[in-house]
Amino acid sequence: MKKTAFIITGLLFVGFVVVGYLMYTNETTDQVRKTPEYILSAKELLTEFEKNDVNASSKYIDKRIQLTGVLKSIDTSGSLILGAAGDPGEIIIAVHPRYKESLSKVSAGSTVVVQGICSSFSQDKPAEDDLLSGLGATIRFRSGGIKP
Amino acid sequence: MAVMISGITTLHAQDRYFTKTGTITFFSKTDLENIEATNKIVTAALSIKTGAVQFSVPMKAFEFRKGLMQEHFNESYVESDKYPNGSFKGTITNNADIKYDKPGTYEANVEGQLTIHGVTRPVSTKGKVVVAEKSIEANTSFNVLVADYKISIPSLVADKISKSVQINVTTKLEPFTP
Repeated sequence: MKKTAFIITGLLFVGFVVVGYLMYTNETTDQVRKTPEYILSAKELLTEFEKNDVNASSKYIDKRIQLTGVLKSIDTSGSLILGAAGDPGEIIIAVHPRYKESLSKVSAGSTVVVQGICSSFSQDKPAEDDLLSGLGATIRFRSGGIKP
Repeated sequence: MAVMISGITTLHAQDRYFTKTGTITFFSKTDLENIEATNKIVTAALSIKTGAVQFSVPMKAFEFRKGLMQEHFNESYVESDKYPNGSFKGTITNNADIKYDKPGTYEANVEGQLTIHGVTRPVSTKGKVVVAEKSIEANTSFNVLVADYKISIPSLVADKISKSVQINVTTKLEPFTP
């Protein structure tokens, strides 16, 4: 009986150690391959935020969203900008390192399907003492990538 | 010759330069573990007329390799739900020494206020400004003490995270056209 209890305790301890190790070393979740919570176009998302950013923030911030849009530009250090040429509204996608290689396969002007976590929205009116104001409506995504 | 002179004098005629895809990496080194995280959607702007510099850093956009470290960073260390953005507002104090109309690399002395986790502290650092024909690169590297920003690290993982963290900033700024 004592021996059985000892073995069970030992196995439980080993189990906790293994689970703890796996949790600690586990890489960040691949947000691009998981099922999106919303699917829409970049233009639709920008319109919703520009119309009512309080409601749109409540609906979309920290949610996993699949977007279709035109690439305005690519920053090969690891980000994409979606939007129409001449339109100040933009969606910036921070590309997760696991998807960085796919950036070399697309070019500005092409239509892409991307997915990531909608992180924040800003649209400040120009202010003299604020260099970051008046840069246009901007939605930011993190942990993103081009859908395989 | 007149065309060449005209080209040089109009180089960087705009005052404000900006990017929405600046990169900030922070690096913590200890004997037990090295931890690195990168943020690629930093907004930054520079006034070449006054030398004013500003950054806005969405804290949740720092990507770590390990999911648990990213979770702890956001939930416990920087409390990113409560303090979603870090920021810097300062000036290149030797702005007059930077020839924005002449391509080249220039040393920059930067002073300003850095805000992380709701705490604002003065920061002084050196950086490089690289003037090119159509863009300006502004880069710097400096250290911050985690405790200065009231970021408390649990004793269980204290040995894994350095008390002083290195911050590297890389930005490629383009002219702002309203």
